[in-house]
Amino acid sequence: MRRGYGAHPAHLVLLLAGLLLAVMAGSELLAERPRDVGLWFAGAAVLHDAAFVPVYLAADALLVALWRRRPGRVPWLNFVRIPLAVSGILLVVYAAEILRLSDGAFAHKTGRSDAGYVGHWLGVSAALAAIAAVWYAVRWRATRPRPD
Amino acid sequence: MHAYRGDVTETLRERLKPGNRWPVGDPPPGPFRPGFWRSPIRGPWLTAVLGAILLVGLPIMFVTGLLSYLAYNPGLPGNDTKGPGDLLTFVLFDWPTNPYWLYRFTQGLHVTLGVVLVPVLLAKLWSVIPKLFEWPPVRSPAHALERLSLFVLVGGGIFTFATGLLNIQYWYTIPGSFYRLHYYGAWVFTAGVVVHVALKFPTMRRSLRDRRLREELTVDLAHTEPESYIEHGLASPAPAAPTISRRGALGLVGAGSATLFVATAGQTIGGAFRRVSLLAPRGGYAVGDGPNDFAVNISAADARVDLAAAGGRWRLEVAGDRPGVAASFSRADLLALPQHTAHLPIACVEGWAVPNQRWEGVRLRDLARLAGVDDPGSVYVESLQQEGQFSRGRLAGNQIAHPDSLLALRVNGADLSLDHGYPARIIVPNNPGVRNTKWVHRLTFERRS
Repeated sequence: MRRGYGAHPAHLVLLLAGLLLAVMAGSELLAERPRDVGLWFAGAAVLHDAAFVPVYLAADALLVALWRRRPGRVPWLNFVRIPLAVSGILLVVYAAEILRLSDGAFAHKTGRSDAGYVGHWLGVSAALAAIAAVWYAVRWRATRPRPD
Repeated sequence: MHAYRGDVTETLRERLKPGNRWPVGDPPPGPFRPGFWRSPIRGPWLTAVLGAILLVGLPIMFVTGLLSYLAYNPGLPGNDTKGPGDLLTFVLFDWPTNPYWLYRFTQGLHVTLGVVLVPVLLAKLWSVIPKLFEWPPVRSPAHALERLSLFVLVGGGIFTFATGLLNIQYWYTIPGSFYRLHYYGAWVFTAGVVVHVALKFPTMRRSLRDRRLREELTVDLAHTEPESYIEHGLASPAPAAPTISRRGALGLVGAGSATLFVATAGQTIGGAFRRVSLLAPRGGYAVGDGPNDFAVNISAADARVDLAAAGGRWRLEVAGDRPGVAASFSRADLLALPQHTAHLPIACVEGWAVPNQRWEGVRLRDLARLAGVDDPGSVYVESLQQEGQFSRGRLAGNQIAHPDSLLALRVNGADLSLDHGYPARIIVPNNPGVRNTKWVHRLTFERRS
């Protein structure tokens, strides 16, 4: 069993039980508009690895390359990298609002416009950048070489 | 052609014989080679820490999500929000009316925690990328099943989080009913999580024991060492020089979660915090101080309320189980009945809440008595709104019986505004917002069966 299957029989029982539950839920999930829902599900499975990863790895590689050219006395890389990353995460979570994708439904449902969210996002990102800048300045001062 | 196919079959048959190894070859260049992934902090420890956070967070998501499903009393005819699916349908208990703030708490927790967990989820996915490009793609039947379960896990996870995030932002692009997709998507995700935790829990525990969190948090960039490479593991065989420490990476995730918390939670907690939550769909603004200035889920215009019917000629029909109308009341008639005051919030499935408002109106149990049903099992509530899934629905007997359950006519000392349900609306403690039906025009009290 172990040689043919590649793991302990309990592994097979666990996997089959789990996949049975997934098939039960999946059959209801796909009961209406199976093509569209299936596409959404498959898209969800690859969204991070195929869409997000190439973008953020390339951006990060670029940032690291820039930093290596002028690393600074106090390395500045993570003081830029972290606020940028958090800003990107905010955009991912609240993309529908910030990019106003709801096609008017936001205003209909809330009675308010979603036009302000791009500004809010930029404002929060700027605040994060300011915190990082202050932190960096403190580090800079704390590690200043003494004249003597 | 035939020879080729026969060849492949022959090879596969040979390879599938017990004891023989699955076909192994050199991985193609690129991400399939382990040396392509060079992060020195990627490894079992970081994955285990992120996994442990999710292991606490996801069960809370599951329980609060299931509670939200039950809060609609899906056992009452027509109330099941996800539609008539039979599988994985549970009605465990009547949804309670005490404490009155429970749904506000559980659903606020569900949505806020879901938002706050996104950075952890993304970091977890980053930490295991090399696994996606494992070579050979399938090593054994066991490995094939495991990879299939990972498709269920990752697909179900992102699907469930995405449907939730899109719904709270009113981007109704998902292919079908939110309730249905989110509910069954979450069950698919749960299946993936259960299998994954069962398989990986020992590894997680070992990794967390090998490298203590408290000690690791003292390690700065200069002292950050890569974890040792193991075949089919997470650590890189050719780690680059570190550019961030492990504590720095966890700090990034923490900064993301903390920012999302501040930017979101105010829409649930309310007060001055609401203004600070700049990215919350129901935050980042100051609520006016008029009696009807609190938020609505749907306006009268969007609900396509028949304005003529809601005007001066409006009458509330209250029926019992006998055929025909038991009683009919004008708004003045209702105001002449004993009035009761209740201080109750409105909590939406979308995670935002309106804090306690002072509602005045007629107790539902008094109306039941007027309809000749002393101990109703349920009431069928019908609204003048012509749009939306919630224009009609049922409340359970315990909800009718609660002394704070009202057909409200006034709020905060003023008449209800049209958007808040004028001429009359339901308000019931611990009831999901949309079940506090607005623009009510008929109540049919049903006897316990």
